[in-house]
Amino acid sequence: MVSMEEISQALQKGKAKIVQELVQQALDEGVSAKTVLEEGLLAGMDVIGVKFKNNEVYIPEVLIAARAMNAGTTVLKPYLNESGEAAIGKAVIGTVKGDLHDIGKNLVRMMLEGKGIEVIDLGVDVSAEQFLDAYQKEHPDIIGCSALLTTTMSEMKNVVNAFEAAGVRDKVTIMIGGAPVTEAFCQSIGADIYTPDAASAAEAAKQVLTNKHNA
Amino acid sequence: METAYKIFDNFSTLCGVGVIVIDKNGQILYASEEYKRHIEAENALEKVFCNADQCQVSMVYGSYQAQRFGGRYIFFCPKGLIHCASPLVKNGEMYASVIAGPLLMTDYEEYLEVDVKGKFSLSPEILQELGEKIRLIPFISPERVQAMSEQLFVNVSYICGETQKALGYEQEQKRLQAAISEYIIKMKPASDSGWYPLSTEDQLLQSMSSGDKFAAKGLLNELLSHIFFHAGSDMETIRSRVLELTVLLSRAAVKGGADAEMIFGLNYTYLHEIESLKSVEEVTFWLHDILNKFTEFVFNFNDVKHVDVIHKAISYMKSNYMRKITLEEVANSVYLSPSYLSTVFKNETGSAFNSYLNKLRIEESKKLLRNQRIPLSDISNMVGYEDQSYFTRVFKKMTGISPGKYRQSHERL
Repeated sequence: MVSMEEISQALQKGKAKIVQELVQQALDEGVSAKTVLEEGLLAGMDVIGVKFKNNEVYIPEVLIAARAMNAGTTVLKPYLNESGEAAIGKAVIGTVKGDLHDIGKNLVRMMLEGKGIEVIDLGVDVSAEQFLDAYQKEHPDIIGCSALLTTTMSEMKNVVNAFEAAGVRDKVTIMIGGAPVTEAFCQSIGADIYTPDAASAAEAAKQVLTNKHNA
Repeated sequence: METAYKIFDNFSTLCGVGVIVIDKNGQILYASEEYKRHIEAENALEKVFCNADQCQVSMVYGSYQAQRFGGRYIFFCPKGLIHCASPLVKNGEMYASVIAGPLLMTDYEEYLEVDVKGKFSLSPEILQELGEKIRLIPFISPERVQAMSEQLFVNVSYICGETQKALGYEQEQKRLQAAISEYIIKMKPASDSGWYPLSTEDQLLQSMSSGDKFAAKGLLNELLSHIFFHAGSDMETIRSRVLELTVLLSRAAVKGGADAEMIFGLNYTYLHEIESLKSVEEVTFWLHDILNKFTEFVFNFNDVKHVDVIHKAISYMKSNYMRKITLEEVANSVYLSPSYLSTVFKNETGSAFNSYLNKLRIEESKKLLRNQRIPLSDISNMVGYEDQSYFTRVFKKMTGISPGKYRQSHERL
C-alpha cells in the first residue's frame, strides 16, 4: 500500500520518476485522484513552501520539487476528468505579467479540464493585451488570472480595464486567484469571482457555465 | 571584458560547470573551456529535442528574469537542464548576461526517463548513446547550485560595481512583499478579520518607543497586510493609513527619547512624499525606511553594554514607582553604588536617573487620568509624588498641559 506520505517525501526530494511510479501505484490501488493530489502532492509542496520561507531550502530545491509535482499531476490528469463528453465551455488562463509562478495556474488548468472545460493556457508573464488577444481569437467564456506576488496583483486591474476599454467586459467572466489575492481586492478591481484554490475555482467556473447555458 | 572572461573561466573550472556570456539577443560572446567540454552532450540532445532556437530564447528570458529578481535566476531550459543567469548591467541597462550551465540536479537515469523517454519515443540504441553522452553534463546538488548562483552574482557585482546597490534594493522589496503576503494568507481564512487592528498598531508604537526595531518591523508588516488586504488596490485609502502611521510612529519615536525637533523636521519632508507613493511596494519600502530612520534616534537596549543592570534597575523602578524611591534604593537593588549607577544609567540610556523616573511616573499618571473615575487629587500619590503641586509642575513640563486639562481632553473621546 502506497502511503501519501511516501509520495510527499519523494516530491520533496525532487524524485520525479518515483513520484510518477507511486502516484500510478496509488491510483491502481484504488486511492482517489483527489486524495493523491491533496494529501500526496500538494502536501509535499506545502512542506517545501514552509521550508523555503524559513530559508531551509532555496530555489533549486523548489525547482526540482515543482518538476516532481508536474510529473505527478501528469499521471493524475486522466483520473481527474469527470466526464468524457464535449466541453461545457472554454477558459483562457494565465499568470499575469511580471509573475512567473505557474504551479497554482497549472493545477487550475487541470481541475478545469477535469470539469469538462476546454482550457487555453497562455502560460506566465501574460500581459493584459495578450489576454485580450486570446479573447478575440478564442472567444472564451471565462478569463482566469493568477498572481503570487503582491507586486503583480495590480496587473489584474489592467486586464479588467483592457476588456472594458475594448467593450467586451460583459462578454466574459473574469476570475482571479493567487496567494495574496483576496475577495476585497477582487471587488475593488472590478473582477467577477475570487476563489482561494484550484478546486473551488473549478467549481465556480462550472457554475458560471451552467448558469450561462440555463439563462 | 577580458578580465570578466578570465573571472568566468576560473569560476567555470572551480564549479565544473560550463559558463557562457551572451548578448541581449542570445548570441554567445564567450564560452568557457568547461562549456566546450559539454558540447557533445548538448549536440546529442539537440538531435532529439530539435529546439535550439527555443533554448536561445530561454537564455535571454532567464537573463531578463535575473535582472528583475535581484540579479540572479535559476531556471530550466527547454531541454530540462538547469542554468543560473546573472545580468551584466551598465547604467541600469543589461548589455550582456553570464549563464552557468547546463547542469542536472536530478540523477541521469531520472532525467532520461522523465525528460527524454517521457516525451519522445526513441530506439534503444539512441537511448544508449544519449545515456552515455549526458554523463558529460555535471550533476550538482541543489545546495551547491544555490551557492553557485550566489557566487556568480558576486562575481558579476565585482565586475559591474554599481549594480549591487540597485539589485540589493530589489531584493529587499521582494523580501518585504513576501513577508506581507504571508500575513495576508494567514488572514484569509479568518473571514471576519477586523478592519484595522488597533492593538497591533499599539504594539508597533510600543516597540518603536523602546527601540525594538526587529519587533517593530514585524508588526509593521502585519499592519501593512491588514491595510492592503482591506484596501485592495485603492491607493487613496492606503495613503491615508500611511499618513496616520507616519504621524503615530513619529510620536512614538519622541516618546522613546528621540529629539522632538529632529523628528518634526523629518515629518515635514515625509508627509509631502506620501503623495508620490504610487504602488504597494513603494509604500512598503517607504514605511520601513521611515521606521529605520526614526528608530535610529531612539535609544536601543540591544546595544547596551550594561544591559542586564539597566534592565534590572528599570524593572525595579517600574515595580516601585508608586512609592517615594531614591537612586540609593534602586542602586542597592542592583548591587551598585549610587554614583556608579547614575553614570551608567546616563551613559547607556541618555537619560538621567531622575528624568527617567519622572517620565515613567508621568506615563503611568496619564493612564490613570484617562480613567475618569479616579479622583484627580489621588493620582499624584498613586504615581509616587507626595506633593500634588510638584506632580502638576512636572506633568506640565513634560506634556505641555496640566493634568486636569489632559483629563478633560480625554473625556470627549
